[in-house]
Order: sequence, then C-alpha cells, then structure tokens
Amino acid sequence: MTPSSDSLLRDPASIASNGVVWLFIIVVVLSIIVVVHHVVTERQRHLKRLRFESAALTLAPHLVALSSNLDREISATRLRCGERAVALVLRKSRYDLKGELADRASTILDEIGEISRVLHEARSRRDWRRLGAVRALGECGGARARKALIHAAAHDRSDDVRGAAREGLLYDGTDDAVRVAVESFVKAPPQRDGARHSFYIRLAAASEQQMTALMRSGLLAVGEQKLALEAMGDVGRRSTLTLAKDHLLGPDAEMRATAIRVIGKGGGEGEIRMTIRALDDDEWYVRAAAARALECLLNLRPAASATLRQTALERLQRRLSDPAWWVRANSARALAHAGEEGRVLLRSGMESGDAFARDASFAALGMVGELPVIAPKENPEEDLTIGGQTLRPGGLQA
Amino acid sequence: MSLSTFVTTLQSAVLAYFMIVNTIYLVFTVIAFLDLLSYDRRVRRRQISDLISNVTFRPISVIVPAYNEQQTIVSNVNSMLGLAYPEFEVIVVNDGSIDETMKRLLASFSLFPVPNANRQILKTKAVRSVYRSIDHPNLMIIDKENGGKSDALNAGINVSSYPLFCSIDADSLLDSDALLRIAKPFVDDDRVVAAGGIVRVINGAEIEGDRVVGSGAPKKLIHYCQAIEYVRGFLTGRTALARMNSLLIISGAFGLFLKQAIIDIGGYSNQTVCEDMELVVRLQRFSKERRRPWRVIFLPDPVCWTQVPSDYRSLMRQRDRWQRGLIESIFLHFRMFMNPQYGAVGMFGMPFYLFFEALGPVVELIGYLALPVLWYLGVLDTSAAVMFFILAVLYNLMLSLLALIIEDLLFQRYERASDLLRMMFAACFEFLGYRQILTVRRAAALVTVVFRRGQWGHITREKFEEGTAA
Repeated sequence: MTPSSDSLLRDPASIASNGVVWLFIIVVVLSIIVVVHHVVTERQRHLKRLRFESAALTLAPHLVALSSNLDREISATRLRCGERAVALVLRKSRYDLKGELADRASTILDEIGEISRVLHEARSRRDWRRLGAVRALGECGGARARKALIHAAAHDRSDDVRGAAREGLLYDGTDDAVRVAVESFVKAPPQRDGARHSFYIRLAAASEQQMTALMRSGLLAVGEQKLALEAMGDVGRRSTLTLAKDHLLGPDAEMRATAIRVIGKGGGEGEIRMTIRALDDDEWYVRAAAARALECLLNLRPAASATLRQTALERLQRRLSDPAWWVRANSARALAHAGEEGRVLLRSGMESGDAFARDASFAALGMVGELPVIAPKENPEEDLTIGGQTLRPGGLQA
Repeated sequence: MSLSTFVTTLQSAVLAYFMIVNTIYLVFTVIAFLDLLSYDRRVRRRQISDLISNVTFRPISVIVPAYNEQQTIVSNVNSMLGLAYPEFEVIVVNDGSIDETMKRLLASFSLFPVPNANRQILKTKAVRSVYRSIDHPNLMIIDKENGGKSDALNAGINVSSYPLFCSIDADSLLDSDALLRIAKPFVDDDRVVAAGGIVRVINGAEIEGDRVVGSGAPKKLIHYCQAIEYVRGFLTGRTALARMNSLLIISGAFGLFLKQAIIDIGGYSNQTVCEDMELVVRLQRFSKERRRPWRVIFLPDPVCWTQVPSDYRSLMRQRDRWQRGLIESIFLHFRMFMNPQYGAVGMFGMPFYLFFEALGPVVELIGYLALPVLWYLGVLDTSAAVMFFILAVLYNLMLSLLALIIEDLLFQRYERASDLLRMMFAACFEFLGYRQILTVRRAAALVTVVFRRGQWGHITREKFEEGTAA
C-alpha cells in the first residue's frame, strides 16, 4: 500500500493509478453482477415457488381423494401454473400413490414431456446431471423410465448413478426391475456401509422373496449378512425371524447380537425364551442386545404368560450386577419399562449390596420419573438424601 | 545503509508482501468457487432425506460448554433439542458459572441428579453433579468446577455415549438440518475425523422458537462488517484450505469430531487460548506422525448462527484472543513448519498461517507506520501512496464481492436485495477504519504472546429475541 523508491518502480503513481482505474471498473462490474443476479434469480425462485405451491394446493386434495375430476384439474393447473410445476407435484407425490393412480401419474408425466426431458438429461456426460436425472426417473415411474433405469443400473460408469438407479428400480417393485437391481448390486456393491445397508432395507421392503434368496445365496460375506439381517429386521418381515434364529447359536458373536436385535424387533412369545438364554452369552454386547430385545418383547407382547414374564424379569434383575455397563443399563431400562413388576425389582436393586446394581437401578428409576426433581445443593459439601440413599459427588453412598 | 534506504527497502518488502498475500487470496477465491460449485451439484441440491438414510447415521453427542451464559443458555439448549437427527444427546457442561446459568437450566428442564459414574478418560477439574432431564431423556447437564472451555469439552467427552461429538458454543443456534449435513461425510468416508460447518452472524436474522427462520443483513455497522468477514473467510478461505488439505482450524462454535480420534490425541488442551485451532493442528500432526489417513474437512452447508460482539471493546478482545491462539498454536507445533513429513499441512498450511495470518497484521502495521517516516525523510511519493491505498481497498473490495457472488449464486441466504446492498456497503467500509483498528490489536497480540499470556476476557452477550435478532 505504500510506494517504494523510484529505483524499484519506474512510475509507481502511474502504475497504481492504472491499477485503481481497472480495479474500479472490475468492482463496479462485480457489484452490478451481484445485484442483477440476485434480483433476477430471486424473482425466478419466488415465481417458481409460488407456482409449485399453487399447483400442490390445487392438486393435493384430488390426489388424496382419488377424485374423478383429477384429469380435469391437472389440465387446468397446467394452464395456470405451468407444466414444470405440475410435473414436480406429480413426481413428488408419486411415492405416496399406489396402483392405478401411480400409473396414471406416470402417464401424465409422459404426456407433458417430463419423462422425455429427464431422459435427455440422463444422457449427459456429467455425472451429477445424470444422477439428478436418474433420481427423477425413479420418481416418474412408467415403462420408459423403468427401461432407462435398468440400463443405468447395469451400465452407468458412476457408482452414485447406479445406486440411484437401483433405488428407482426397487421402488418400481416389478420382478424384473428388482432382479436387475440385485444383479447390479452384487456385481459392484457400493463401498460405503451406509449405502449397502440402505439397499438391503429397500430390497427387503420391495421383495421379501428376493431378499431371502440373496441372504441364502452364499454371495454375501458374514459382515454383509449382518448388515442385511439388520436391514430385514428394520423392515419387519416375518421371514426375518427364521433367518435370525438360524444365526442365534452361530459362532460369530456379532452375528448373534444382530440376530437378537432383529428378534427383539419382530419376535413374539415364542422368541422370549431364546432371548432369555442369550442373557447368559459370553460376549457382553450379545447380553446387552438380549436385554434390549427383552425390553421390546415384553412391551410388545404383554400377553406373554405370567410365568415367562416373571422369569424374564428375574433374569434381567440378575444382569443388574453384570460387569459390563451396557448390559446393566439395558437391563435396568428393560425393568423400568416393564411396568410395576419391573420397578419393584429395581427398587429392591437400590438396596442391593452391589454398587453396580444400585447405580443402575437408581438411574433407571430416575429415567421413568420415580425420583423427585430437586434443585442443586446450595452448599456443595452438604449431602443430599433421596429415598434413604445419600448422594454425594461421585455417586451414591450406602 | 542510510535510514531512507532502509525504510524504502522495508516499504518495498511490504508492497511485495501485499501483492503475494492478495494473489493468494484471489487464488483461494477461484479454488473455493470451483470446489463449492462441484459440492453444490453433488451434494447440496439433493434432498436431505436422500443424503443420509436414517439407519445409516452415527449417533452424535452435542456438547455445549457454558460459562456465564445465562442470557442464551435456555434458548441454545432448546434449539439443540429440536435438531433433526435420528439419535443424539445434548450434554451441557456448566463450567463453574458464577451467574444464573445453572439456575435457569434447572428451572427450565426438570432436572434430577444422577450418580456420576463416568470414566475419566480425559483429566478434568472435578465434576460436582450430573443431572438428567425427565422431559428430555437425551439431555444431560454436567456441573463442574471452572477449568476453561477445553476442560469443559473434555468433561463432556468423558460422559458422552456416542462415537461422534459436536462442540457448539452456548451463544449459538444451529439450522435444524445442520447435524444431518455435517454428519454425512462421516458416513461416506471412514477417514474423516473432523468436520467444520459454516458460521454465520445471527445479529439481524429472524428468530422464531429458538430457530433461525430467515437471514437478513445485520443493522449495526460493526455487525455487518463482521458478517462480510465471516462470509469471505468461510466461503473462500476455509473452503480453499480444506481443498488443499491444509485446514488448521475448525471453528469452536460448530465442529463435529470422531470421539476416539480426539481421545487418541489427548483431548482438548488448555495450553493455548484457542483450543479449537490447537486441537485441529494436533489432529493433523498426529495423523501424519502415526501415519493415520485422517481427514479434516470443511462443509459450506451446515450452518451455525452465532452472536458476534456488538461493541468494539468486546470485538477487540475476541480478535486479540484469536490472534494469540493462532500464534500459540503455531509455535506449539512449530515442528510441522515446512516439514515435508507433514505433507500439505506442513509445507503450505503452517507457512500460510504463520506468514500471512499471524504476521500479516505486523507487516501491515509496519506499512502504515513507515508512511510518516518516509514523508519526514522526504522520499514519500504522496500521490503514489494514496493510489496504492485506494488500490488495496479496491482489491479487497473485489475479493469481498467475489465472496458475495459465491454466496448469492450457491446459497442465497440473503433474500432481500437491500440486505445484499448492505453487505456490499460493509465491504466498502471494512477497509476504511474497521480493518485498521483490528490490525493494530492483532499486531499487539504478538507482543502479548511473547511477553505475557492473557486469558479470555469478557464478551457481552445479548439474549436471543424472537423476531429479528439485535
């Protein structure tokens, strides 16, 4: 910012003033660009938003009610709000439409040229553009879209695009589409755990039969089977329990833990006994999963026989002294959520000679609001007494 | 060598420095623009539900260290509890506040004490009490003895249950999808151990129900000078440095970390007044020394809204602390400087931060101080000096406008044209006094570091008001 001597620069003032002029021009141009761009694009965004909202408000009731006037309303909305707005509404709502109405939406999207437009974009050389197009094809549905998705799932060079195509095919749900999606997945599975897990969930939701076939095909490594089983458990298909039970006594502890979690989500009275047995597993995470699974089963199946229920609760109480924190915490939580019978056991746990059991019981009872809300001590040195227990910094003291 | 030759040579060096640093900033702007354009197309345009399936998330512990934050703590905690994320916990660490921070927490969240049965993985000052909430099972409050922000964060890490933790300032609010966006890279890439989001100025934003619902340019000049600084700093500087694997700072106001990695390096340290920068430098150092393929990244779309100082005194203290922290962090890890063992961080990142961020204010101050000396010696070309000053102002204005173009093109946070015009005005004014005041303070920070260690100082907080923030 300061001039150097004439020995360094021939005419610093002139150089600087030239620089100032050019920079001034650049700054003015940039300022104009910023303002004009903002005004133009903000207006476009605003209009686009208004048209979409108007189209959505008009069409939504007819879509929900499966109105016989739907076609007429769509035609009128196309004239008023534009075809892009109508296309967007139909694409976004198509996931919630089923059967004939979904097919009708796909046909209308084809008629108004949306599918052609998207197919054109799907031929772009840029990966991000093809990705957007393939997602849009998944939303549009219909025969033309399905054909393009099958091609993309099998041949596209981008992992993300193939993944998006598989999603679209799974949503489509026809046998051919699902088969191609599975083949594409097996041939080049995504690297990320999350993407594979997401695929298994969608596959399990789309076709239980094909998912089970994949699990039993031997094409999946143990780690993948765990992921796949977890996904099936999340979707909650009945056949999942059969697969889970197969793994319950297997040699792989993580697989056992996964199987127990799945059983907890979808099991019935018949599964309570095997879950109780899992509370004695050698590995802490299997025991922790068993405690959590029991919490779900006892709550989901309150009509389980009284004896079985009591057995489960007593075994959970024993786990309050488990060396592993997660096992204690999950067991205490399961008891806390098992109604009065569970809380009776927790209250007796608070008087146990085992500090672990006392702490776990205390925390669980607090979680369900059995302990009073109190203000902090004015004097940090002063002890607090709650329910016969003295609370000092650092934990309970007997 | 005569005095005039010496001063003139010094001025030439200052001029050369000016040209180098501004060229680097221009290059940063270009790199950032291309990187953000690519990011926008690949990631930002996609619906958030597409980005992360809800069964693939990794649960997060949100840690909020609080010291004398009575004005904002309840709003902040409510904001955290309302975040859209499948599984997370909020841990507020009351670091021995002497105001009503703890009382307001107790009054607002139905707390009950629980035994403190947590492992002391990282050493901290004593924890007095631990509380949970009946109304919010995922809320935990730690009441501990005062030990500083780094100590509070370490205490939060000790009690956290999840593999990722997010450090948030108690005077900040997050966008509801901020956690989802910042957590995504941890799903995509196992090497990511730290991610920083963008920090925006909340002063001037519309707040409703502890959530920012509309952004607007601030009303006070001091606020929008800072706002334009933040836009420029985050959208160009941090983006470019992250792209070049040379990022040495993740803002303490909003960062997501892999807990195990932070534990491996010993947690936050109180050796500097800017624990956030020192942590990241140490992460980078550890990753190279132990040959771990760790990545530290920056993301432009998860947004944290933070209060900036409203008076010059608080602003000076803040910038003084940042500068001291920067210098302390660099010298604490000076071994990385120009050391090929540390890759791009050592060969570019450290020299950049040292020569241009740490020593930049000193060089600039020398430039200003040399002017009267040159004039006295009779070698000052006054018109050239004025021209160069205008050149500098225009150049920096150009950089700010480029940052605003990026902001408007890709993020469109400022919806009203009047807000954008205010930001542009701030960019003009920034270099006509505001920057010079900060330069003096930042240069003085070097003296402080060399001769004595200062502390945090006091920054005046304002309460979040519904409607437009002050």
